[in-house]
Amino acid sequence: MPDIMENSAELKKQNQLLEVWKSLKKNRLAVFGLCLTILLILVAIFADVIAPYDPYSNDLANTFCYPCRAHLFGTDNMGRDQFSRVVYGARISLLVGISTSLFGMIGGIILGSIAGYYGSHTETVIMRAMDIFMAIPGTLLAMSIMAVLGQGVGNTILALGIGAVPRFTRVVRSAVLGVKGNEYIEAAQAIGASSFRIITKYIVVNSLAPIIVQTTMNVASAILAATSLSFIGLGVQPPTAEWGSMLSAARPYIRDYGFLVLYPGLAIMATIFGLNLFGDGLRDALDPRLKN
Amino acid sequence: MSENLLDIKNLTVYYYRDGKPIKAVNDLSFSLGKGETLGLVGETGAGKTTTAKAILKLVPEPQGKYESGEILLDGKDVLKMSKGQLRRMRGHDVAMIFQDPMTSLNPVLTVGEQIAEVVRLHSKVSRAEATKKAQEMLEMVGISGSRYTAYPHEFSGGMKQRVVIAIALACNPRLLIADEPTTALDVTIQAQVLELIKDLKDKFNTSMLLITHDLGIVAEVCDKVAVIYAGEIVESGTAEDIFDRGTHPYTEGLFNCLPRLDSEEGERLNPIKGLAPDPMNLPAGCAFHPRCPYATDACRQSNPKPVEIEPGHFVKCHVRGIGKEDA
Amino acid sequence: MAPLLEVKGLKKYFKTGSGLLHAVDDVSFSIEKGTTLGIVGESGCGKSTLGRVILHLLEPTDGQIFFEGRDITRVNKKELHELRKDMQIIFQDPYSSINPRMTVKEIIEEPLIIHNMYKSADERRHRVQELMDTVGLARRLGNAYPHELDGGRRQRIGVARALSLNPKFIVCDEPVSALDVSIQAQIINLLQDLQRELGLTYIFITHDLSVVRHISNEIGVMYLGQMVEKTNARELFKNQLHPYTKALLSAIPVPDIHNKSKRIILRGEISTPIDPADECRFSVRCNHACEQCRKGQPQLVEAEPNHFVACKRWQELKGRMEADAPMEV
Repeated sequence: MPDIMENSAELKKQNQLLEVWKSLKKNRLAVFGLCLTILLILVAIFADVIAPYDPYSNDLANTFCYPCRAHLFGTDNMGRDQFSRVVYGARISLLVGISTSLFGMIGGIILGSIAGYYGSHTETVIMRAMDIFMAIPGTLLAMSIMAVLGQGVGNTILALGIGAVPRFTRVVRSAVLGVKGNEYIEAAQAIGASSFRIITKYIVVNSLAPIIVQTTMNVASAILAATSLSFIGLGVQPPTAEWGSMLSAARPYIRDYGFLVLYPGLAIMATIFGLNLFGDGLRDALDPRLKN
Repeated sequence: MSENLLDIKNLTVYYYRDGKPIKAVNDLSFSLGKGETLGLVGETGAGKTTTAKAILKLVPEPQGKYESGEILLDGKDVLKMSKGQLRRMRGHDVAMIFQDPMTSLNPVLTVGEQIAEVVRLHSKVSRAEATKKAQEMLEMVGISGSRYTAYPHEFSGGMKQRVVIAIALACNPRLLIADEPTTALDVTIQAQVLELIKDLKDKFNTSMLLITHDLGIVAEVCDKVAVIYAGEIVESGTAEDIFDRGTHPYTEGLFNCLPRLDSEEGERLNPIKGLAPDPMNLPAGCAFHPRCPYATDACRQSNPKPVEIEPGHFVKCHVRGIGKEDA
Repeated sequence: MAPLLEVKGLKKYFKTGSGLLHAVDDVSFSIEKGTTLGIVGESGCGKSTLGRVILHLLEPTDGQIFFEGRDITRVNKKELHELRKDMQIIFQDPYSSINPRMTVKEIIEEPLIIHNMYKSADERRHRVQELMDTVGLARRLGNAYPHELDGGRRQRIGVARALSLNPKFIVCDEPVSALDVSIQAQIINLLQDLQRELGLTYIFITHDLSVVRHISNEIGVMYLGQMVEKTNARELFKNQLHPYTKALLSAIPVPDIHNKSKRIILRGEISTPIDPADECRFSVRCNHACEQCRKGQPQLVEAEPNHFVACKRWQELKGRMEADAPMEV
């Protein structure tokens, strides 16, 4: 019955996002991960409402206070409220994680789609350069860049972002190679579409799924890398409330006041855990090859 | 009815997506005698492949569900068989040739090993005997026995389909199900493979269910024909019944929309109007009525029952399904 | 009248690991305006490559292409852009040949945007609707995505898009092979109606011989990159001069149980187009090959008026093949 079919085709005209969401919803772990991530984002946004104290105000009368009703996570050697600092730390971590991933993603899309679309020598040059970058351990690369650029949030993002580009480039290139084989690319050439148009309107939009997954996963690893950098004193500098630098500052007191590392550590763990669960779920939902 | 090898009675198979049924096969019945070749003809989505899979009880569960009906193979209901019985039945009593020879062979085993494996699974023979049998089978389908150790990728499409046929026939099955066996092949290769299938079928007296959309192939190979539309058999009978006295409007439409080799210049084709129905949303009454030029109110209201218009020739149509004596 | 398209000695070779692949090897033909040339052959015979080379989707290795009398073998970017308006293509697979992320409207509108065909968006949208009407797509489907539509409708999108620039010439690369017979007939009728109304010229590439007979004025049969026979459609089905054409036509399963003609079963399968030897390429499978077939390639010659064949033995074989030609069984 053609009429009924056409109508149902129109009713079905909801975007693919809904499909993805439906399939994601079935995966409980992914939903849990998503909740954790959303919680983190809310905490970061409403940090000034949630935090009971100013994270930077010292209270020397109240140093090393154990967790209690007034200070949920206790206070540190300067008497600063740990809970408020963990809450504010979410802002920095999220900022670093997301900006780094976006940086890597944009770099990766540009280099990867150029390499994948044009092929031959262009591809060789770009991909070999990426291989060289990938041969350097990530933290080492970031440390070297930080050593040159100096410390601070902006430079941390830049250093980690540059480090993320090669992985994104690889993901984008392989996705592009897959898309490039489709006849609609040739169809676009046949109507006279320019290379720029083909890359942006045909190739990149059709390779978004793996790129989105890589971005989500990369947020987690970037947060971890940023905290590591702060921990060794290269990243975000004290007194900025950041989980890594909090761990670093608490190091001398671990034996006596374990709670000082416990809470920032837990915050890092929960964030990474949530993002990874969500990323895995997203990959399964976006990648139809894994569906039956 | 005891002389029938296969009797499918009122088979209904649904798939479920988001809790809603996709009505793939609806109250479908047909039978196949020993040594006969039945062509199951229909278009994409008509339920041909689901029917074939159901005979082997291979419809993926739990998405697919056998709602009702029985599939009697030598009088035993396939749908009620135990796992062990099914395993013995598959490959031994019933073998299947799939459409795509490229993906139905295991790329990491030699073709000889794949044939020998089937032989050993279903008959108690030594490894050496199985190897010998596999070589015989290769020769039988026109491939030199010395190519026993070749891998599938060393073969072309037509050769792979020969290997698939050798595997299917290795255990002398009584029923061979061929699902579009030549669709992926070129015309001249198709001619070779059809010739081979016909020869082997006669040699082993195997019954065959040939699933295809190509009426030309059916004319070439089949004794009996069943036309399937929206999961139902709309017309069935001998090849003569269908090709010479095709009665159902859908059968008529299928023949009319083919370009004829003796057509005149500038002649137009007569396509069946509209599209095949969505199995999630079948029309009420006869499933073909929205596309049928002869549809009446009766067709819109109730689904016709198959009527035997001449011995062995069944038509499921309110308008055309009138017995000779009534006409 | 000069032909709309003329191809002379066209060659397309690909470099592969194991040698030079002769995809299209010295093919020549011409097409009159408003007619259809059918190109038939089995997979790997170079028929799709031929269509793509003519459209400059692939660059020719050698030979010449003339369009409306103008040599278009070598064109620069700007000339090519203009040429795209006159020459279009309809692809085989309506599933993979349209961008799944664009709506029906966007897909049909895109060529108009690229070529700046209309000044205002309103005019452009009007043209899109007109095109959808022409190919028989309901206007309400404009916002649908391709995956929501069946193969027949998707192929209509492909046709609308090809028509959007008002081309004079369209390469139809197996446009109905992926469709069911009842839908196939709809699309074939559409293509024929459009040809009549718009005066289009087609190259119709297919492996389906009954379709090609129905739609073509002339038919060229290709084997391993070469044209082995070319003549009027009806003549080809009545009187085949090349042994390959004969075997190919006898292999079509005819939907008629009383007309079981004798099949010519060929030996073996299509051989490799990589570095072919200097012999008749069909000789290894040919039932009539002899010494002279293995020495040098046959040329395409006009054996009978407007009936070209590339076989050295066509004259001797003519009588012989008729003797074992189709007979009632």
